[in-house]
Amino acid sequence: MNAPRTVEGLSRQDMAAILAVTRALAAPFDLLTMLAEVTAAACRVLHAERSSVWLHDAVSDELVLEVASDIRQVRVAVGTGLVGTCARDHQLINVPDCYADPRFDPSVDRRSGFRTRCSLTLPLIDHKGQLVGVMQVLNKDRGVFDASDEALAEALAAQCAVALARVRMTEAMIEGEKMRRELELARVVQISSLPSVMPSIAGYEMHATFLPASLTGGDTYDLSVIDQGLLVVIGDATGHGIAPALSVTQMHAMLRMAFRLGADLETAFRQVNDQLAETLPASRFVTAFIGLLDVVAHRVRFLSGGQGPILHFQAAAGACLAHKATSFPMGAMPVSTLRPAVEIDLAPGDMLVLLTDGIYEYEDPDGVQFGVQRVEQVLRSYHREGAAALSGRLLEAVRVFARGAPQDDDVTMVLVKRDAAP
Amino acid sequence: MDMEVTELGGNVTCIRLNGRLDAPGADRIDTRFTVAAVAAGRHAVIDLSGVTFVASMGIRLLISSARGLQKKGATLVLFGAPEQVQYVLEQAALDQIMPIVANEQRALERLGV
Repeated sequence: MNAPRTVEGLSRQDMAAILAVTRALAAPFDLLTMLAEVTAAACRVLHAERSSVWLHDAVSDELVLEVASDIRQVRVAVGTGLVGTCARDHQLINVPDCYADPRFDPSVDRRSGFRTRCSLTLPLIDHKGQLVGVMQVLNKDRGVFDASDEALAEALAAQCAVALARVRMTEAMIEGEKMRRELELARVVQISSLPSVMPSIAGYEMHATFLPASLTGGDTYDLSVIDQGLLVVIGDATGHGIAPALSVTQMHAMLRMAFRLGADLETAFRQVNDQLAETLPASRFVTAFIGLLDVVAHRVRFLSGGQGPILHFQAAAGACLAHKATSFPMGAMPVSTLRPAVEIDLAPGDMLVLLTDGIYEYEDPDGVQFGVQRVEQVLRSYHREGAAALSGRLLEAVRVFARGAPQDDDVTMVLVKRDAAP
Repeated sequence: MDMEVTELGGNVTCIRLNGRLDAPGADRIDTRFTVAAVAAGRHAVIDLSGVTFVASMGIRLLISSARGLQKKGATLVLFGAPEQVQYVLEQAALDQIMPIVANEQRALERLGV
Protein backbone atom coordinates (compact mmCIF):
# COMPACT_ATOMS: atom_id res chain seq x y z
CA MET A 1 0.00 0.00 0.00
CA ASN A 2 1.21 3.52 -0.64
CA ALA A 3 2.49 5.43 2.37
CA PRO A 4 -0.28 7.57 3.86
CA ARG A 5 -0.08 11.21 2.89
CA THR A 6 -1.06 14.11 5.05
CA VAL A 7 -3.86 16.06 3.46
CA GLU A 8 -2.88 19.71 3.28
CA GLY A 9 -5.54 22.28 4.00
CA LEU A 10 -8.18 19.71 4.90
CA SER A 11 -11.29 21.56 6.00
CA ARG A 12 -12.93 20.90 9.37
CA GLN A 13 -16.03 19.69 7.52
CA ASP A 14 -14.01 17.21 5.47
CA MET A 15 -12.20 15.91 8.52
CA ALA A 16 -15.49 15.65 10.40
CA ALA A 17 -16.99 13.71 7.46
CA ILE A 18 -14.07 11.29 7.37
CA LEU A 19 -14.13 10.78 11.12
CA ALA A 20 -17.86 10.09 10.87
CA VAL A 21 -17.08 7.32 8.37
CA THR A 22 -14.29 6.00 10.54
CA ARG A 23 -16.68 5.79 13.45
CA ALA A 24 -19.34 4.10 11.35
CA LEU A 25 -16.86 1.61 9.92
CA ALA A 26 -15.55 0.64 13.32
CA ALA A 27 -18.99 -0.62 14.31
CA PRO A 28 -21.14 -2.52 11.79
CA PHE A 29 -20.58 -6.18 11.17
CA ASP A 30 -22.97 -6.46 8.31
CA LEU A 31 -21.39 -6.33 4.87
CA LEU A 32 -24.08 -4.44 2.99
CA THR A 33 -24.42 -1.79 5.71
CA MET A 34 -20.70 -1.30 5.72
CA LEU A 35 -20.49 -1.01 1.93
CA ALA A 36 -23.38 1.46 1.88
CA GLU A 37 -21.54 3.57 4.50
CA VAL A 38 -18.34 3.58 2.49
CA THR A 39 -19.89 4.44 -0.85
CA ALA A 40 -22.07 7.19 0.58
CA ALA A 41 -19.08 8.63 2.43
CA ALA A 42 -16.84 8.50 -0.63
CA CYS A 43 -19.38 10.51 -2.64
CA ARG A 44 -19.77 13.03 0.18
CA VAL A 45 -16.09 13.52 0.97
CA LEU A 46 -14.82 13.49 -2.61
CA HIS A 47 -17.76 15.43 -4.03
CA ALA A 48 -18.38 12.66 -6.53
CA GLU A 49 -21.56 11.60 -8.30
CA ARG A 50 -21.23 7.89 -7.70
CA SER A 51 -19.03 5.37 -5.97
CA SER A 52 -18.80 1.61 -5.74
CA VAL A 53 -16.91 -1.06 -3.85
CA TRP A 54 -15.94 -4.21 -5.74
CA LEU A 55 -15.12 -7.27 -3.64
CA HIS A 56 -12.37 -9.64 -4.63
CA ASP A 57 -13.58 -13.22 -5.10
CA ALA A 58 -10.36 -15.15 -4.53
CA VAL A 59 -11.82 -18.40 -5.89
CA SER A 60 -12.69 -17.08 -9.35
CA ASP A 61 -10.14 -14.21 -9.24
CA GLU A 62 -12.91 -11.84 -10.19
CA LEU A 63 -14.18 -8.58 -8.74
CA VAL A 64 -17.83 -8.56 -7.76
CA LEU A 65 -19.86 -5.37 -7.53
CA GLU A 66 -22.13 -5.74 -4.51
CA VAL A 67 -23.38 -2.21 -4.04
CA ALA A 68 -24.45 0.45 -6.46
CA SER A 69 -27.71 2.29 -6.38
CA ASP A 70 -29.16 0.80 -9.57
CA ILE A 71 -27.03 -2.17 -10.60
CA ARG A 72 -26.13 -5.39 -8.79
CA GLN A 73 -23.80 -8.35 -9.06
CA VAL A 74 -21.55 -7.35 -11.93
CA ARG A 75 -18.40 -9.45 -12.28
CA VAL A 76 -15.08 -8.38 -13.81
CA ALA A 77 -11.96 -10.51 -14.17
CA VAL A 78 -8.77 -9.29 -12.51
CA GLY A 79 -6.75 -7.51 -15.23
CA THR A 80 -9.82 -6.34 -17.19
CA GLY A 81 -11.00 -2.73 -17.32
CA LEU A 82 -9.96 -0.03 -14.86
CA VAL A 83 -11.19 -1.97 -11.82
CA GLY A 84 -9.48 -5.20 -12.92
CA THR A 85 -6.24 -3.39 -13.78
CA CYS A 86 -6.22 -1.65 -10.42
CA ALA A 87 -6.76 -5.02 -8.70
CA ARG A 88 -3.95 -6.64 -10.69
CA ASP A 89 -1.39 -3.85 -10.17
CA HIS A 90 -2.41 -2.83 -6.62
CA GLN A 91 -2.09 0.79 -7.82
CA LEU A 92 -4.39 3.80 -7.69
CA ILE A 93 -5.61 4.87 -11.16
CA ASN A 94 -6.79 8.43 -11.71
CA VAL A 95 -8.41 8.88 -15.16
CA PRO A 96 -9.52 12.41 -16.06
CA ASP A 97 -11.35 11.30 -19.26
CA CYS A 98 -12.58 7.70 -19.15
CA TYR A 99 -13.81 7.42 -22.74
CA ALA A 100 -10.29 8.39 -23.91
CA ASP A 101 -8.69 5.59 -21.84
CA PRO A 102 -8.41 2.19 -23.56
CA ARG A 103 -8.73 0.35 -20.22
CA PHE A 104 -12.22 1.77 -19.61
CA ASP A 105 -15.11 -0.64 -20.26
CA PRO A 106 -18.19 1.38 -21.34
CA SER A 107 -20.56 -1.63 -21.20
CA VAL A 108 -21.60 -0.94 -17.56
CA ASP A 109 -22.53 2.61 -18.63
CA ARG A 110 -24.58 1.23 -21.50
CA ARG A 111 -26.53 -1.05 -19.15
CA SER A 112 -27.17 1.57 -16.46
CA GLY A 113 -27.58 4.65 -18.65
CA PHE A 114 -25.00 6.47 -16.52
CA ARG A 115 -22.33 8.55 -18.26
CA THR A 116 -18.87 8.15 -16.68
CA ARG A 117 -16.68 11.18 -17.18
CA CYS A 118 -13.69 10.82 -14.85
CA SER A 119 -12.79 8.17 -12.28
CA LEU A 120 -10.56 7.38 -9.35
CA THR A 121 -9.94 3.66 -8.75
CA LEU A 122 -8.13 2.37 -5.66
CA PRO A 123 -7.10 -1.07 -4.44
CA LEU A 124 -8.34 -2.16 -1.00
CA ILE A 125 -5.45 -3.93 0.70
CA ASP A 126 -5.86 -5.47 4.14
CA HIS A 127 -3.32 -5.38 6.97
CA LYS A 128 -1.72 -8.58 5.66
CA GLY A 129 -1.11 -6.98 2.24
CA GLN A 130 -3.87 -9.06 0.56
CA LEU A 131 -6.22 -7.52 -1.99
CA VAL A 132 -9.76 -7.54 -0.60
CA GLY A 133 -11.41 -5.36 -3.23
CA VAL A 134 -11.41 -2.18 -5.28
CA MET A 135 -13.08 1.15 -4.58
CA GLN A 136 -14.10 3.33 -7.50
CA VAL A 137 -15.37 6.90 -7.43
CA LEU A 138 -16.90 8.51 -10.51
CA ASN A 139 -17.45 12.05 -11.82
CA LYS A 140 -16.08 14.76 -9.56
CA ASP A 141 -18.42 17.75 -9.32
CA ARG A 142 -17.17 20.47 -11.65
CA GLY A 143 -13.85 18.97 -12.66
CA VAL A 144 -11.53 16.00 -12.26
CA PHE A 145 -9.97 14.32 -9.22
CA ASP A 146 -6.70 15.91 -8.08
CA ALA A 147 -3.83 14.86 -5.80
CA SER A 148 -5.66 15.93 -2.67
CA ASP A 149 -8.69 13.82 -3.69
CA GLU A 150 -6.31 10.89 -4.16
CA ALA A 151 -4.99 11.30 -0.62
CA LEU A 152 -8.50 11.52 0.84
CA ALA A 153 -9.63 8.50 -1.16
CA GLU A 154 -6.59 6.54 0.03
CA ALA A 155 -7.44 7.35 3.61
CA LEU A 156 -10.98 6.09 3.05
CA ALA A 157 -9.78 3.03 1.17
CA ALA A 158 -7.46 2.09 4.04
CA GLN A 159 -10.39 2.27 6.46
CA CYS A 160 -12.62 0.36 4.11
CA ALA A 161 -10.06 -2.43 3.65
CA VAL A 162 -9.68 -2.90 7.40
CA ALA A 163 -13.45 -2.87 7.86
CA LEU A 164 -13.90 -5.39 5.03
CA ALA A 165 -11.28 -7.72 6.45
CA ARG A 166 -13.00 -7.43 9.80
CA VAL A 167 -16.43 -8.10 8.32
CA ARG A 168 -15.13 -11.24 6.67
CA MET A 169 -13.40 -12.36 9.83
CA THR A 170 -16.52 -11.81 11.93
CA GLU A 171 -18.80 -13.42 9.33
CA ALA A 172 -16.69 -16.52 9.62
CA MET A 173 -17.32 -16.53 13.37
CA ILE A 174 -21.10 -16.24 13.31
CA GLU A 175 -22.22 -19.36 15.14
CA GLY A 176 -23.54 -20.25 18.54
CA GLU A 177 -25.61 -18.44 21.08
CA LYS A 178 -26.36 -14.82 20.16
CA MET A 179 -25.26 -12.89 23.23
CA ARG A 180 -22.03 -14.79 23.63
CA ARG A 181 -21.33 -14.42 19.95
CA GLU A 182 -21.91 -10.68 19.92
CA LEU A 183 -19.70 -10.23 22.94
CA GLU A 184 -16.98 -12.23 21.30
CA LEU A 185 -17.27 -10.24 18.10
CA ALA A 186 -17.09 -6.98 20.00
CA ARG A 187 -13.99 -8.32 21.68
CA VAL A 188 -12.45 -9.30 18.36
CA VAL A 189 -13.06 -5.81 17.04
CA GLN A 190 -11.69 -4.25 20.20
CA ILE A 191 -8.58 -6.40 20.32
CA SER A 192 -7.95 -6.19 16.57
CA SER A 193 -7.38 -2.45 16.92
CA LEU A 194 -4.51 -2.85 19.41
CA PRO A 195 -0.96 -2.54 18.08
CA SER A 196 0.65 -5.94 17.60
CA VAL A 197 4.24 -4.81 18.17
CA MET A 198 5.81 -2.12 20.32
CA PRO A 199 7.57 0.69 18.46
CA SER A 200 11.33 0.64 18.83
CA ILE A 201 12.82 4.02 19.72
CA ALA A 202 16.44 4.52 20.79
CA GLY A 203 16.69 5.79 24.35
CA TYR A 204 13.22 4.53 25.29
CA GLU A 205 11.61 1.34 26.37
CA MET A 206 7.89 0.80 26.38
CA HIS A 207 5.50 -1.91 27.33
CA ALA A 208 1.76 -2.37 27.14
CA THR A 209 -0.39 -4.93 28.91
CA PHE A 210 -4.01 -5.68 28.09
CA LEU A 211 -5.90 -8.25 30.13
CA PRO A 212 -9.54 -8.33 29.07
CA ALA A 213 -12.13 -9.25 31.66
CA SER A 214 -14.33 -12.19 30.71
CA LEU A 215 -17.52 -10.38 29.75
CA THR A 216 -17.31 -6.64 30.18
CA GLY A 217 -14.95 -3.75 29.76
CA GLY A 218 -13.90 -1.44 27.03
CA ASP A 219 -10.21 -0.64 27.30
CA THR A 220 -7.86 0.26 24.51
CA TYR A 221 -4.33 1.54 24.08
CA ASP A 222 -2.04 2.67 21.32
CA LEU A 223 1.69 3.14 21.03
CA SER A 224 2.77 4.03 17.52
CA VAL A 225 5.18 6.27 15.69
CA ILE A 226 3.31 8.82 13.58
CA ASP A 227 4.39 12.05 11.84
CA GLN A 228 3.50 14.05 14.95
CA GLY A 229 5.70 11.94 17.30
CA LEU A 230 5.15 8.82 19.38
CA LEU A 231 1.42 8.53 19.87
CA VAL A 232 0.53 7.23 23.32
CA VAL A 233 -3.10 6.44 24.04
CA ILE A 234 -4.96 4.69 26.80
CA GLY A 235 -8.74 4.63 26.89
CA ASP A 236 -11.61 3.10 28.82
CA ALA A 237 -15.27 3.13 27.77
CA THR A 238 -17.78 2.93 30.61
CA GLY A 239 -20.46 0.31 30.91
CA HIS A 240 -21.03 -3.39 30.50
CA GLY A 241 -21.56 -5.57 27.47
CA ILE A 242 -20.89 -5.03 23.80
CA ALA A 243 -21.32 -1.27 23.61
CA PRO A 244 -18.17 -0.19 25.49
CA ALA A 245 -15.98 -2.47 23.40
CA LEU A 246 -17.43 -0.87 20.29
CA SER A 247 -17.30 2.73 21.56
CA VAL A 248 -13.67 2.41 22.46
CA THR A 249 -12.87 0.86 19.10
CA GLN A 250 -14.61 3.75 17.36
CA MET A 251 -12.61 6.25 19.39
CA HIS A 252 -9.38 4.46 18.62
CA ALA A 253 -10.12 4.36 14.88
CA MET A 254 -11.14 8.02 14.75
CA LEU A 255 -7.99 9.11 16.57
CA ARG A 256 -5.73 7.17 14.23
CA MET A 257 -7.54 8.68 11.27
CA ALA A 258 -7.41 12.26 12.61
CA PHE A 259 -3.66 12.03 13.14
CA ARG A 260 -3.18 10.39 9.79
CA LEU A 261 -4.96 13.34 8.22
CA GLY A 262 -2.37 15.62 9.79
CA ALA A 263 -4.35 16.84 12.79
CA ASP A 264 -2.46 18.26 15.76
CA LEU A 265 -3.19 17.05 19.29
CA GLU A 266 -5.83 19.68 20.03
CA THR A 267 -7.68 19.25 16.74
CA ALA A 268 -7.71 15.46 17.01
CA PHE A 269 -8.96 15.58 20.59
CA ARG A 270 -11.68 18.10 19.89
CA GLN A 271 -12.91 16.42 16.72
CA VAL A 272 -13.04 12.94 18.23
CA ASN A 273 -14.70 14.21 21.39
CA ASP A 274 -17.34 16.09 19.45
CA GLN A 275 -18.07 13.13 17.17
CA LEU A 276 -18.49 10.87 20.19
CA ALA A 277 -20.68 13.46 21.96
CA GLU A 278 -22.95 13.55 18.93
CA THR A 279 -23.34 9.80 18.66
CA LEU A 280 -22.98 8.16 22.07
CA PRO A 281 -26.03 7.85 24.31
CA ALA A 282 -26.06 10.00 27.47
CA SER A 283 -24.89 7.21 29.75
CA ARG A 284 -21.87 6.33 27.65
CA PHE A 285 -18.50 7.98 27.29
CA VAL A 286 -14.84 7.12 27.01
CA THR A 287 -12.06 8.24 29.31
CA ALA A 288 -8.89 8.67 27.28
CA PHE A 289 -5.35 9.93 27.61
CA ILE A 290 -3.91 11.09 24.30
CA GLY A 291 -0.27 12.08 24.30
CA LEU A 292 2.47 12.80 21.82
CA LEU A 293 6.07 12.20 22.86
CA ASP A 294 8.79 14.21 21.18
CA VAL A 295 11.64 11.72 21.52
CA VAL A 296 14.30 14.35 20.77
CA ALA A 297 13.13 16.96 23.27
CA HIS A 298 11.98 14.17 25.66
CA ARG A 299 8.72 15.99 26.16
CA VAL A 300 5.22 14.54 26.31
CA ARG A 301 2.31 16.84 25.45
CA PHE A 302 -1.05 15.40 26.40
CA LEU A 303 -4.73 16.00 26.70
CA SER A 304 -6.79 13.69 28.83
CA GLY A 305 -10.53 13.31 28.74
CA GLY A 306 -11.42 12.03 32.20
CA GLN A 307 -8.47 9.65 32.36
CA GLY A 308 -6.48 10.14 35.52
CA PRO A 309 -4.34 10.05 37.51
CA ILE A 310 -1.58 10.21 34.93
CA LEU A 311 1.62 9.25 36.69
CA HIS A 312 5.00 10.74 35.89
CA PHE A 313 7.61 8.79 37.82
CA GLN A 314 10.59 11.07 38.41
CA ALA A 315 13.71 8.97 38.85
CA ALA A 316 15.76 11.76 40.50
CA ALA A 317 13.13 12.28 43.21
CA GLY A 318 12.18 8.59 43.37
CA ALA A 319 8.52 9.65 43.41
CA CYS A 320 5.49 10.13 41.23
CA LEU A 321 3.97 13.37 40.06
CA ALA A 322 0.27 12.74 39.42
CA HIS A 323 -1.58 14.75 36.76
CA LYS A 324 -5.32 15.11 36.49
CA ALA A 325 -7.40 14.87 33.35
CA THR A 326 -7.40 18.10 31.33
CA SER A 327 -11.07 17.76 30.47
CA PHE A 328 -14.17 15.68 31.12
CA PRO A 329 -14.54 12.16 29.68
CA MET A 330 -14.64 12.11 25.89
CA GLY A 331 -18.08 12.08 24.37
CA ALA A 332 -19.79 13.38 27.52
CA MET A 333 -20.53 16.66 25.72
CA PRO A 334 -18.97 18.86 23.01
CA VAL A 335 -15.84 20.76 24.03
CA SER A 336 -16.48 24.48 24.25
CA THR A 337 -13.14 25.70 25.60
CA LEU A 338 -10.26 23.28 25.42
CA ARG A 339 -7.82 23.61 28.31
CA PRO A 340 -4.19 23.77 27.20
CA ALA A 341 -2.25 20.54 26.78
CA VAL A 342 -0.02 19.54 29.69
CA GLU A 343 3.70 19.09 29.04
CA ILE A 344 5.87 16.62 30.90
CA ASP A 345 9.66 16.60 30.54
CA LEU A 346 11.08 13.12 30.86
CA ALA A 347 14.51 13.14 32.50
CA PRO A 348 16.75 10.05 32.25
CA GLY A 349 15.10 7.13 34.06
CA ASP A 350 11.70 8.88 34.16
CA MET A 351 8.52 7.04 33.25
CA LEU A 352 5.07 7.83 32.03
CA VAL A 353 2.71 5.34 33.68
CA LEU A 354 -0.84 5.02 32.37
CA LEU A 355 -3.23 2.57 33.99
CA THR A 356 -6.95 2.11 33.54
CA ASP A 357 -9.25 1.84 36.53
CA GLY A 358 -9.18 -1.96 36.16
CA ILE A 359 -5.97 -1.58 38.22
CA TYR A 360 -6.86 1.34 40.49
CA GLU A 361 -10.32 -0.09 41.26
CA TYR A 362 -9.33 -3.76 41.53
CA GLU A 363 -11.02 -4.90 44.74
CA ASP A 364 -9.82 -7.38 47.30
CA PRO A 365 -12.37 -9.73 48.95
CA ASP A 366 -13.12 -7.01 51.56
CA GLY A 367 -14.04 -4.43 48.91
CA VAL A 368 -10.83 -2.40 49.37
CA GLN A 369 -9.47 -1.02 46.09
CA PHE A 370 -5.87 -1.30 44.94
CA GLY A 371 -5.62 2.49 44.57
CA VAL A 372 -2.93 4.92 43.48
CA GLN A 373 -0.67 4.65 46.50
CA ARG A 374 -0.02 0.95 46.03
CA VAL A 375 0.88 1.64 42.40
CA GLU A 376 3.33 4.35 43.47
CA GLN A 377 4.87 2.02 46.01
CA VAL A 378 5.60 -0.61 43.34
CA LEU A 379 7.09 2.06 41.05
CA ARG A 380 9.33 3.39 43.81
CA SER A 381 10.58 -0.08 44.70
CA TYR A 382 11.25 -1.36 41.20
CA HIS A 383 11.76 1.69 38.96
CA ARG A 384 15.27 0.59 37.97
CA GLU A 385 13.85 -2.46 36.22
CA GLY A 386 12.73 -2.40 32.59
CA ALA A 387 9.22 -1.44 31.53
CA ALA A 388 8.17 -5.04 30.90
CA ALA A 389 9.53 -6.28 34.21
CA LEU A 390 7.92 -3.38 36.03
CA SER A 391 4.54 -4.15 34.42
CA GLY A 392 4.94 -7.69 35.71
CA ARG A 393 5.67 -6.32 39.20
CA LEU A 394 2.48 -4.24 39.12
CA LEU A 395 0.37 -7.21 38.04
CA GLU A 396 1.95 -9.39 40.68
CA ALA A 397 1.22 -6.77 43.36
CA VAL A 398 -2.41 -6.63 42.24
CA ARG A 399 -2.65 -10.43 42.26
CA VAL A 400 -1.27 -10.69 45.79
CA PHE A 401 -3.51 -7.84 46.95
CA ALA A 402 -6.63 -9.43 45.40
CA ARG A 403 -6.23 -12.73 47.30
CA GLY A 404 -8.11 -14.57 44.57
CA ALA A 405 -10.86 -11.98 44.01
CA PRO A 406 -11.90 -12.18 40.35
CA GLN A 407 -11.05 -9.55 37.74
CA ASP A 408 -14.28 -7.81 36.74
CA ASP A 409 -12.95 -5.03 34.48
CA ASP A 410 -10.37 -4.81 31.71
CA VAL A 411 -6.85 -4.20 33.02
CA THR A 412 -4.64 -2.09 30.78
CA MET A 413 -1.22 -0.63 31.47
CA VAL A 414 1.07 1.44 29.27
CA LEU A 415 4.57 2.25 30.49
CA VAL A 416 6.95 4.49 28.56
CA LYS A 417 10.39 4.68 30.17
CA ARG A 418 13.29 6.89 29.18
CA ASP A 419 16.59 5.06 29.60
CA ALA A 420 18.51 5.97 32.73
CA ALA A 421 21.75 7.92 32.31
CA PRO A 422 24.65 5.49 31.72
CA MET B 1 -25.91 3.33 48.88
CA ASP B 2 -29.03 5.22 49.98
CA MET B 3 -30.63 8.35 48.62
CA GLU B 4 -33.06 10.86 50.01
CA VAL B 5 -34.95 13.34 47.85
CA THR B 6 -36.16 16.73 49.07
CA GLU B 7 -37.98 19.31 46.98
CA LEU B 8 -36.53 22.71 47.75
CA GLY B 9 -38.11 26.02 46.74
CA GLY B 10 -37.06 27.79 43.58
CA ASN B 11 -37.54 24.82 41.26
CA VAL B 12 -34.69 22.86 42.85
CA THR B 13 -34.51 19.19 43.88
CA CYS B 14 -31.96 18.16 46.51
CA ILE B 15 -30.71 14.58 46.53
CA ARG B 16 -28.61 13.40 49.47
CA LEU B 17 -26.48 10.33 48.84
CA ASN B 18 -25.08 8.07 51.52
CA GLY B 19 -22.61 5.22 51.15
CA ARG B 20 -20.32 3.94 48.42
CA LEU B 21 -20.97 5.25 44.92
CA ASP B 22 -19.19 2.37 43.22
CA ALA B 23 -20.57 -0.11 40.65
CA PRO B 24 -22.99 -1.91 43.05
CA GLY B 25 -23.95 1.42 44.68
CA ALA B 26 -24.62 3.11 41.34
CA ASP B 27 -26.60 0.05 40.21
CA ARG B 28 -28.78 0.21 43.29
CA ILE B 29 -29.86 3.82 42.84
CA ASP B 30 -29.50 4.16 39.05
CA THR B 31 -33.13 4.45 37.97
CA ARG B 32 -34.40 6.17 41.13
CA PHE B 33 -31.60 8.74 40.95
CA THR B 34 -32.14 9.45 37.27
CA VAL B 35 -35.88 9.86 37.77
CA ALA B 36 -35.44 12.12 40.79
CA ALA B 37 -32.68 14.24 39.27
CA VAL B 38 -33.63 14.44 35.63
CA ALA B 39 -37.24 13.51 34.92
CA ALA B 40 -38.89 16.73 36.11
CA GLY B 41 -36.29 18.95 34.45
CA ARG B 42 -35.83 20.95 37.68
CA HIS B 43 -32.36 22.05 38.84
CA ALA B 44 -30.70 19.42 41.04
CA VAL B 45 -28.23 19.82 43.89
CA ILE B 46 -26.53 16.62 44.99
CA ASP B 47 -25.26 16.31 48.54
CA LEU B 48 -22.17 14.08 48.54
CA SER B 49 -21.20 14.63 52.18
CA GLY B 50 -22.34 11.11 53.08
CA VAL B 51 -20.53 9.47 50.16
CA THR B 52 -17.51 7.57 51.38
CA PHE B 53 -16.21 6.44 48.02
CA VAL B 54 -16.78 7.04 44.32
CA ALA B 55 -15.67 4.87 41.38
CA SER B 56 -16.04 5.10 37.62
CA MET B 57 -19.59 3.72 37.49
CA GLY B 58 -20.64 6.38 40.01
CA ILE B 59 -19.07 9.07 37.87
CA ARG B 60 -20.96 7.69 34.91
CA LEU B 61 -24.26 8.11 36.75
CA LEU B 62 -23.44 11.72 37.67
CA ILE B 63 -22.38 12.59 34.11
CA SER B 64 -25.39 11.02 32.43
CA SER B 65 -27.73 12.84 34.82
CA ALA B 66 -25.94 16.16 34.29
CA ARG B 67 -26.17 15.70 30.53
CA GLY B 68 -29.84 14.79 30.76
CA LEU B 69 -30.56 17.92 32.77
CA GLN B 70 -28.53 20.14 30.45
CA LYS B 71 -30.72 19.01 27.57
CA LYS B 72 -33.73 20.22 29.57
CA GLY B 73 -32.09 23.57 30.27
CA ALA B 74 -31.45 22.80 33.94
CA THR B 75 -28.26 22.38 35.95
CA LEU B 76 -26.91 19.71 38.29
CA VAL B 77 -24.59 20.92 41.08
CA LEU B 78 -22.52 18.70 43.38
CA PHE B 79 -21.66 19.80 46.89
CA GLY B 80 -20.12 18.62 50.15
CA ALA B 81 -17.80 15.99 48.68
CA PRO B 82 -15.33 14.58 51.23
CA GLU B 83 -11.67 15.01 50.30
CA GLN B 84 -11.18 11.54 48.82
CA VAL B 85 -14.35 11.81 46.72
CA GLN B 86 -13.41 15.33 45.61
CA TYR B 87 -10.01 13.95 44.50
CA VAL B 88 -11.62 11.31 42.26
CA LEU B 89 -14.06 13.83 40.75
CA GLU B 90 -11.17 16.19 39.99
CA GLN B 91 -9.07 13.41 38.45
CA ALA B 92 -11.82 12.95 35.87
CA ALA B 93 -12.20 16.73 35.38
CA LEU B 94 -15.88 16.52 36.27
CA ASP B 95 -15.82 20.17 37.33
CA GLN B 96 -15.82 21.02 33.62
CA ILE B 97 -19.22 19.41 33.16
CA MET B 98 -20.99 20.35 36.39
CA PRO B 99 -20.27 22.81 39.19
CA ILE B 100 -18.67 21.21 42.27
CA VAL B 101 -18.96 23.48 45.32
CA ALA B 102 -18.33 23.31 49.06
CA ASN B 103 -21.83 23.34 50.56
CA GLU B 104 -25.57 23.58 49.94
CA GLN B 105 -25.64 27.35 50.21
CA ARG B 106 -22.98 27.72 47.52
CA ALA B 107 -24.86 25.24 45.38
CA LEU B 108 -28.06 27.26 45.58
CA GLU B 109 -26.13 30.49 44.91
CA ARG B 110 -24.71 28.82 41.85
CA LEU B 111 -28.24 28.26 40.60
CA GLY B 112 -29.18 31.85 41.42
CA VAL B 113 -31.91 30.83 43.86
